[in-house]
Amino acid sequence: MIHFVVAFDAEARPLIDHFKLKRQHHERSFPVYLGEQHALIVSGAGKIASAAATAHLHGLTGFQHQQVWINFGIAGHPSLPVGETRLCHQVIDKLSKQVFYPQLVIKSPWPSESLFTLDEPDDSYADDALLDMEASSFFATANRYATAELVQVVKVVSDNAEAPINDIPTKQQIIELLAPQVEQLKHFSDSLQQLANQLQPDRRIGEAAAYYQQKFHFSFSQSESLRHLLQQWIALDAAISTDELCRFDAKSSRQLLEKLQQQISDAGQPT
Amino acid sequence: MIPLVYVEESVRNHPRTESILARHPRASVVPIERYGSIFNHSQQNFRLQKQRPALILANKHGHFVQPAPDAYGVGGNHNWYFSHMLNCLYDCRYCFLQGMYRSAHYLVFVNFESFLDDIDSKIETGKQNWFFSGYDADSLALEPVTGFVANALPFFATRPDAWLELRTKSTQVRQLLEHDPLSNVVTAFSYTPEATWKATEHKVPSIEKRIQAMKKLAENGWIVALRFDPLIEQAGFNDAYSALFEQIFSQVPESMIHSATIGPLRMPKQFHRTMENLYPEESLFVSGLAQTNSMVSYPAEREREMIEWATDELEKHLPGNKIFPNLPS
Repeated sequence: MIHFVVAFDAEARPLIDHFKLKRQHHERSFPVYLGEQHALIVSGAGKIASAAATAHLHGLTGFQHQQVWINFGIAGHPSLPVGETRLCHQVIDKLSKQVFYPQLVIKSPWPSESLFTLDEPDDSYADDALLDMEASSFFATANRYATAELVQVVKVVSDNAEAPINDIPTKQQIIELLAPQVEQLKHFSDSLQQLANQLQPDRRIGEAAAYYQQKFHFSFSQSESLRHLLQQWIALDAAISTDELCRFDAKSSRQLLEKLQQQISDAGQPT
Repeated sequence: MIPLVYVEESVRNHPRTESILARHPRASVVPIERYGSIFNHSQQNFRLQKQRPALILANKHGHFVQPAPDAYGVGGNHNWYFSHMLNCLYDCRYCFLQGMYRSAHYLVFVNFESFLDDIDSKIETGKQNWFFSGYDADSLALEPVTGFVANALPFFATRPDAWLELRTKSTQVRQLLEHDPLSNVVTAFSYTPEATWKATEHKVPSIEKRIQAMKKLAENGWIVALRFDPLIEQAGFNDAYSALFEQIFSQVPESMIHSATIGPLRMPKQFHRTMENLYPEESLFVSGLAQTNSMVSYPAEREREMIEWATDELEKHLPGNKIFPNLPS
């Protein structure tokens, strides 16, 4: 699942249209939109709102770990032209001085840049970096659920020293700024999803574990051992089917684990 | 290509930083306070980072040169190791670094002079003092980036009691070939047989290319060495290692080979678990390994058998006093 966290409705619109996301009307805390592979939440402006929305979406999509998280939206910059897009390699919370480092491990269509997250709008453009009001708390929250390679911040410049923030862009202007980036954002997020897929446990482990757990009672540590042994068996026989993994009969969970251990010892000998 | 370089503010104006950055004009440069804010930070994934590592340039403070583990010696009086770099260009599935670090970024300490000063302070005159450089990284693979060897050679040229081991799986020997050979610098090449190389040593140059690099060094008067450490279990173990030894010794003159070491695959239980979690599909972490106390290795009897057999087999090609089997007690 690819999770988007945006601050404003206008930032959400190009994504909703592109990914054909459906509004979840029963959701009252935040506007939430879901598709088959994508989830989007509109946090509102500011760090607290962004952290709360990120946590809310995590719960709403099943508290899954190692999923893709992207904060997408507009940002200021002292000199970059309006409409330029940047991936953030460093996110600095201006107030707390905390620094976060999204890890950039796939090729990005955009150059990378540092970003300062501010508590209030600032039209001085004193720092040579992007400026926003959400990214630091988004990152700090999402990085609890996913490794830093899967949590990314993508910003499109909406204002700069020549066109400062007091000329607040209209909803339509924001849509026009962000919409041209969505196709590239799709490719970028798909690549991140491929990374995330590498961290997902093999489906057969869950299926076989569920089968055995219906037959026997397992303590927590026994359940962990069961999954570990099934994983090892798959490592030794990549093509093994779930049925084959479920072929053992036993009198108890303990005996089953012993049989699995023996199977792995036998299969692990070089031939 | 290195896409991103994190630079500690304290070394931003170091001449070595500037020269490394000049060689990577397209990389984004990110200033950082301390390398620990990136390297080994929690909530990172070694497997994912390994797919596109960044470079970290930092300053090392103290503990430059450390006593080498007991098993590391090749006949010298004193054995030390140092790590001017952490992590490696290659991606060997059995490598303990992936169990030790959370980060796969290349960390280079640019204050080479501090390492060399500390080496200087450890040399005991009239003794053979060994300094092993390939413990936490490949000594040569990133030489075009770091330029460490180019700095170290003039230093060792004037210190005959200090012996430098460069341990590598690379073919980056140009820097050595451009220098007059030094009798106290040994380039040690690590090998496993063809099937293991293909299955587990991702991005490592082929065996033949490494032999050619080794041969070129030997032809130019440089002393070389062999490292079969770790020995990796495989089907047809004996035949595979016999063929590997034959391939090497048929091309590299024995007279230029300083030593061969043979060591077991061993790792702390926690490293093994981390590596298995990173690559759960990898059969290497399951095949034939056993846990004894806090270590994971091949069963003791098999480990001894592998090492003794490899030692005997090597003796067909090398005098016994050049062979250093590391059989754990």
